[in-house]
Amino acid sequence: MSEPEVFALIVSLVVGFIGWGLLAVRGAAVDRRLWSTPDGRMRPGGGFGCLATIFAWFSIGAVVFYILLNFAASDVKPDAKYIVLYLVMGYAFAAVNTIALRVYGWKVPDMFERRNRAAHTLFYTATLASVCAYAGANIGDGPGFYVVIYCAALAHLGLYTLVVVHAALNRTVYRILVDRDRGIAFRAGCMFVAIGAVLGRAVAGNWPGFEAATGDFFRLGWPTVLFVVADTIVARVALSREIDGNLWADRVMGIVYLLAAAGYILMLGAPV
Amino acid sequence: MLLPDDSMSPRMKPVTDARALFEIWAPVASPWSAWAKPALFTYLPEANSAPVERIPWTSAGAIPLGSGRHAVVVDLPSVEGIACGLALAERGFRPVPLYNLTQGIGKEVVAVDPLIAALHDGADRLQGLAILDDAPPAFLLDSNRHVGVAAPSMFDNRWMVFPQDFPSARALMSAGVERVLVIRREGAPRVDLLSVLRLWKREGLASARFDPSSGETIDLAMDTSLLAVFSAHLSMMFHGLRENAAGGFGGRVPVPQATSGGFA
Repeated sequence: MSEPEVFALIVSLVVGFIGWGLLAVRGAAVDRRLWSTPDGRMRPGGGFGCLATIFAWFSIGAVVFYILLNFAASDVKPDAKYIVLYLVMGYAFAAVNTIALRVYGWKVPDMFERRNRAAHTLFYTATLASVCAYAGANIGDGPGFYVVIYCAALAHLGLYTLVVVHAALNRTVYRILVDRDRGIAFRAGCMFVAIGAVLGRAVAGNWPGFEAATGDFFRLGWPTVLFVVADTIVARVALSREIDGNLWADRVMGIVYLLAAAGYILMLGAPV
Repeated sequence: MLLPDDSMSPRMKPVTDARALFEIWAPVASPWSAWAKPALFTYLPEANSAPVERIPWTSAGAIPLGSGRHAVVVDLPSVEGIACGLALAERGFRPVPLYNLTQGIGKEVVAVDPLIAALHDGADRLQGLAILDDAPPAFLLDSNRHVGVAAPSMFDNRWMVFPQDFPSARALMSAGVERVLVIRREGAPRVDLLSVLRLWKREGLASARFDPSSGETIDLAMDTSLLAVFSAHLSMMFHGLRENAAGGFGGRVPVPQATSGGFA
């Protein structure tokens, strides 16, 4: 590995450890202090802190590892050092994503202390959306790790822009974090995953240069705007006065978003 | 130390487990218990702590609840909030403690011991009351939660509330709540509570402030524009308080290192 690659690995390790380490420590500490019995057993509803972090950790590893082994550059696939580098970078991007979620209004106590199941759903799906965006950046051949960072950053920037626009147009944040509406959390979360997957596909493929890669991103990624438009219409048409009033309709809509994203990606075919 | 006035209830049992104390203040049967904060309930008062002086909360009868169904936010200093909560419990409300601060090494900015002792002592009285499962909530806050200066080596446990610390207006209204009454003495509510009330107002739940000193009730008017909501959202993101890694607020203020720098 070259010096810049070692530097990227160290920075990713630090960012990943800080982001995920603090989350894991906090989850475990809250579980132990607030939700455990004096004899060390977990109270009903406790234990989410550790499980949430472990589940997210394995999900990120599984998706990124699969993509790296099967679709990464030809010089990355057989080299364990590069697999480790890009895997750790994936954890770093997902750690940054947890910070971006705080801008959205989500807070760590929403999961661990308030035990808000809708906030859990938001966290998992937003993490998966970030992983999809990052995984797409690893597909195809390129001159070095910096193009993976560029493509992943581009996909994440697009994802965050659309999430902020969606938050400004709708009251989804309030409905998830204050109303604790699980249906809306699932629907919005699936929309984020769909956007992440499409934007990941938009930056996937062999590296054509900065200008062409940015052009491809907009050319292939624009349909993600339709998800925001569609969900804004759905949110207004299906507005329920009841919490979890549209639980099943929201779940169905979430799956429709995922299927639409999968259909679009299949329609585009394998990246070149 | 001041504590709510109390008489020994025949059902009173000494509470020796912090979690059992939490179950009394936040029983599973109450829908509002999901919002009660467990952070303070992880402590029990020390057995050899100083005896407490009990005070009655005499203004409970004067609270203008009218004919409609109210939710109450008690925003009074220290144990007075708990005393008021217990008085409201006698009027059929379910007190929901939202104290989200912790104890640690160093002098605390916000005193924790009186609150712990009051919650512990008040549990006996609460156990003796027959509060309905669907009783309206009375959320208990400490109006001193943000008061004080955190100097180096102190334990900065100042705290605040967020909109997600309360049920949504939708949840309150679906439980029949028509209006929110904030019991507070020192002027308008703080910015953190104000942002909660603003979001409730946007959802159609109005609020008023009752001052127990003057007996005056004032309708709370607030800016409910999107800009006001957004600026409150930003100010909450950068609150500058110390969150505790094990839940709640509280952290030691680091002591600056006395070092000499530069070239000799």
